[in-house]
Amino acid sequence: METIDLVIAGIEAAIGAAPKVAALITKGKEFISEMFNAGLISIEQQNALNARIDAKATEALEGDGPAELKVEPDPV
Amino acid sequence: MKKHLLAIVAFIGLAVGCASHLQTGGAYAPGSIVVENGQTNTVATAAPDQAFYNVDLSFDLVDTAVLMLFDFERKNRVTLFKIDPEIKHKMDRLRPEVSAARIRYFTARKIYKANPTPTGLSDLEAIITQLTTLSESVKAAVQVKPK
Repeated sequence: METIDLVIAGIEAAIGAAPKVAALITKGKEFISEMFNAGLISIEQQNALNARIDAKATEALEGDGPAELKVEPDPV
Repeated sequence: MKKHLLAIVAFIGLAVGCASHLQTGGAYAPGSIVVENGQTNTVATAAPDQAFYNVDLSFDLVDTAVLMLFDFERKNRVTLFKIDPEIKHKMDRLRPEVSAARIRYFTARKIYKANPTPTGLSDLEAIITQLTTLSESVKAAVQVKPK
């Protein structure tokens, strides 16, 4: 593979990952602010976290689980 | 890897010791609304479970990070496969392990919610540690090493 192909592949990969990375950064910020705010963790914050984990649990235990965890055939 | 694990454990420990607390009436601090002398108050119906909140929050962060890495590989599979087919093959070996760890967490969480005990909480923490270790393997697998 040529160097330019690798550079393009890297850029494509980075673009593909960007929205998820942004989501993770947001979640990281939420995590830090929720853990280190010296005040109250609101009812809304608690309920949002609980609902998020419940939804993941339902998907994993009653459904097929997230698509990214499925083993798929190699590309041709 | 050990350094990362220690950092996470230290982070959770520090977080648990923080001054933040749960507002009564939330999912982790159940309460009911009581009207007394014309005033509306939320009264706790069970002790707030800050430790469970912290564990769920840690799980959410680690789980999101792991899923992001798998999603990254899936969305860029054709390109990454051309660079090194082993990336997908390594990720494929880890997929069932991560799925199993997640199912263990959700099952243990269900048990803890029905009957909150210190042992149940320790089980949840242990699964997060396993998932964190797996996340390091996933991160290593997705590294692109140009030939």
